[in-house]
Amino acid sequence: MTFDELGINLRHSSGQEKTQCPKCSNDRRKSSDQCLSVNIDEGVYKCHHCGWKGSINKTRTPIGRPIVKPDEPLTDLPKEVIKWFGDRGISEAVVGDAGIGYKDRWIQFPFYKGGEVVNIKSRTSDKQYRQSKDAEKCFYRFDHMVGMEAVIITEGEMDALSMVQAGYNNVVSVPDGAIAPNSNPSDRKFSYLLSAEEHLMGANTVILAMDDDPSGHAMRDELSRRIGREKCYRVTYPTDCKDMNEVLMKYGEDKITEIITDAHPYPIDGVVLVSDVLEDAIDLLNKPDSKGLSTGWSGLDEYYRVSPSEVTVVTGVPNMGKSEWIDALMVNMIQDYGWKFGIFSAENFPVKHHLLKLVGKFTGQAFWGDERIDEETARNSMGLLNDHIKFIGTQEDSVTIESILDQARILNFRYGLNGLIIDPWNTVEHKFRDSENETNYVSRVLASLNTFAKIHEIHIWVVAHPRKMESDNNRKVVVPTPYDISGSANFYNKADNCITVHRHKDEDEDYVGIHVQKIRFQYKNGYTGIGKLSYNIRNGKYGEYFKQDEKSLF
Amino acid sequence: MENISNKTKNHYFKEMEKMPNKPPSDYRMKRMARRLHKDFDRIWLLYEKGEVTFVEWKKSLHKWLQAELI
Repeated sequence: MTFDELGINLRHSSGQEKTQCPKCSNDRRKSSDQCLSVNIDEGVYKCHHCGWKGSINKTRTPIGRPIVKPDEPLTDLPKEVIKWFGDRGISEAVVGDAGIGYKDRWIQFPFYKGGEVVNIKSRTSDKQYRQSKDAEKCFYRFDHMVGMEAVIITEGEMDALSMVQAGYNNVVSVPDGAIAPNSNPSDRKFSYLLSAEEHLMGANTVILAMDDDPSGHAMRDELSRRIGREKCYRVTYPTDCKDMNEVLMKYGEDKITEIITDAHPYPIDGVVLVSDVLEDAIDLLNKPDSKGLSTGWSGLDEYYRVSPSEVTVVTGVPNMGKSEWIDALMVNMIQDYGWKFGIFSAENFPVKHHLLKLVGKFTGQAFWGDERIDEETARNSMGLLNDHIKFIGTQEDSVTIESILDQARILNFRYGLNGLIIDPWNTVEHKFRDSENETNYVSRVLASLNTFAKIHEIHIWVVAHPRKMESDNNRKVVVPTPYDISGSANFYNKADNCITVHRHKDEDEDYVGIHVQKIRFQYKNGYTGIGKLSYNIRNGKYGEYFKQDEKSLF
Repeated sequence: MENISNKTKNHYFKEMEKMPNKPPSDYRMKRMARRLHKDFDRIWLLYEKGEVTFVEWKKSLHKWLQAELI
């Protein structure tokens, strides 16, 4: 039995939704009332008007199919296949140990995990590829990374076997090859990382031996970003080779050993060689107009743009909209660029309230009052936001910066974060070291946030309260600066960007001022100054600000 | 269109038929829906080349249509 056969019309293939009841809606005066609740994933339905309910459990189409284990391949290889491997520098012994199979012109590479074959990738000599249907995604040679202090990752099975041929056993290969440069690969593409999380997190060194081409570089950068660049190493191939198999064929096993020995770390230890950043600098030279990303408010583009690997400190007098503006910025980045965020927002707990506020900003519709957003729109919004926002630190009694970064590190590994929000600084438990004063503590922690942002190419926003409110001669609250933040002048000194959110309200004007007080990289992220925005209390959104007389022009 | 498989085509049209004629509520949501639409086109091409699975194709379609419904 399916939902279609029961006469239940659904718009989605997963999640929950409300629709009309095939039993009673036609006979009702309010025939358009969506009285039937359906949980598509669970396969259950219930009408809140006539009470009709049931389940289609046994025949519903599952979203995630059960994982199928393939049979072990036949390892009785024809001479031509052995020769084919031999021509590529890989001996019969290595082929035999890897359990390579052959069937109907397809060479089969079995993926062992826990001693069992969980997947088989097959290829023909003319580079056609296929994998076992509905099989588990994991690294090729998964068992060889278990418990290893150093792991080498290659882009293909032949490269992995080339390294085995050269005497390396701790070698694995990604199952699906590289990713297109400048693409935004889905998390499914990296699903094999989940089963390897424990082993990659436990390893001290990860050598990334991807192909020397744009796709290989993109894959290498994304893997290093997720694993953590502090332990990732890159290899350099001879100019006439693009992967390990070519090195083996042209130069032999010793060259592979030389390449692995010469692998160099990502430039994170404070020492950067010109060669480390040469290509990046040339890219920048060739694209002089490459700027940070727009916040989504054109009135702010001149003053503040968002770039990865930076830390922005946001301050402001209480109740002037710091958190609201950060939330609005996050929603804009999600909508315009598909960014993913980890967010610690202690003042917005419990999370359900925060989520509803975010839905208001996301949809541009009110989330309270008589004209509030309907349930279906809210569910659709939450479904989309689920892919982009992960709430951090919701369970612990005391949250420290270290615990936030630990959780962010794991989230980044699993989902690939782009942004991290810590809001506000004063709700985090600050643990000073022996003989450490507040200034030193703030300096040390901001340095660790900076390093984290740079290693993982994440933009971090820290919301911090000022020490106290000061008023001018007219008893108006003065706009605070980052030097006024409780704790230390390091908030100004160590941050890449500093912003104060302040509401300006008088007889002539009523706007939210985004006071950009510091921008480290002005050539790409803007100049210090004031951007003006308007605030809509109904949906919590910020919009472009127009003065009253300017509004009448339109 | 000759390369597009019946499996994806049928699923696509089935999902399209279910879509209500609803104008977009917010210009930012409209922009997001446009971005997800482009992303879905890209995924569809990758699916035709065998580089992504049907589940991934379906997820991308679902994400785009979800944005269109807001």
